[in-house]
Amino acid sequence: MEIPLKVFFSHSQENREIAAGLARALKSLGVETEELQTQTAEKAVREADAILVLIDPEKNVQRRLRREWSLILQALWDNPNKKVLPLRIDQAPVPAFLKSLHPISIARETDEFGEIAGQVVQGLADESRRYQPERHSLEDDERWHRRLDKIRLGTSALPVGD
Amino acid sequence: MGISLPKRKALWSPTGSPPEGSPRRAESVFINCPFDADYAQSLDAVILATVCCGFYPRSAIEAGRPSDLRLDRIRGALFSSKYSIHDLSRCRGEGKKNLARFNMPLELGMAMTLRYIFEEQRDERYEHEWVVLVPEGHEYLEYVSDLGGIDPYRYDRTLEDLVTAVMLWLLTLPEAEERARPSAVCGNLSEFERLMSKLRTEFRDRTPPWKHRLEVATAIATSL
Repeated sequence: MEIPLKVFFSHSQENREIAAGLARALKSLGVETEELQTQTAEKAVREADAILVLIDPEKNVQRRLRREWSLILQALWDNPNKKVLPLRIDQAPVPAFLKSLHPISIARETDEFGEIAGQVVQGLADESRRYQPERHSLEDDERWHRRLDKIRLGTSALPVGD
Repeated sequence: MGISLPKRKALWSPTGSPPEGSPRRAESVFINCPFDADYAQSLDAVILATVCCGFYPRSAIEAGRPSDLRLDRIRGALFSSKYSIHDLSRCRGEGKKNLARFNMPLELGMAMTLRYIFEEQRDERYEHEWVVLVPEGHEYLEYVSDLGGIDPYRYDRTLEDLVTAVMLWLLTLPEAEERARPSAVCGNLSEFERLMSKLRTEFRDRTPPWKHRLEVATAIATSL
């Protein structure tokens, strides 16, 4: 199993303890992680072999964090082979671009970092977790057309003149 | 001391209740961009990018009676949207008097207030996130220095880069639908512009109504 060399960790300040616990567990499996720093996030994201994204159920997403997610999305557009692994705390709503990357679930109160680290290592080596936004299942297609139907319905109520 | 707001059953809307089954507030994005002819193609690109991410674009010009105060129209559309996009590119001296238009910073301020209320009250009806777009090299901090540190999304003044900037933000939202990369959306821009140009001719070179713009964008998005 090939483990990426440079692994960066994107998380909010509130989740630094979970991130630290997981980083320690990953280290014991031979995976070194570095935190993304705001000032250097762009360079770090570009140079990373893999990125772990910790997603919190907190509705008030920090602007810095959303910006970081945009950088990660840009990196995926530039290089779809870059490994990005979402880690979802409890029932956190997942950013759209991370949904197809099969997020790993974490309970907020967990202390099973060893087990989660094992899943992360497996996830990083799993070739099926590839970013493919153009690939859609029948279910995706149905959901998309339902969404467009809703937009059409909303539009139908608007007046024909401004 | 917390902010005190009047209790309402629903947020005010100039068009009344939306039809059953139409987009929810969480799937609506308020677009605060210039409406002048010079920006028309850019506005169309923002609309197309928004629809291609599965969102319902809303605007101050979408509806309302002519007698409605413009601010009421803005409030109706903005408060009915969980998200908003603000392009500050027009805030510079223009015309003989070299006056800048400040509608866009004003509407951004309203969106920011909505978010502050949500942060204070944690009332989902006021949940709101906004993003600022500025063209590369635009010195927005010269006239709104209070925005220092917000790190706006920049684009290089091309439609393709504008679409990319909009999608870079929208696709980080959980309610978005990811159907394509910006390149695929931009690949549809010329067809979208052809249809919009036809619409403008039908409306005798006037700006086509919001309704028609959305209909064309939705038709294009169907092919993604």
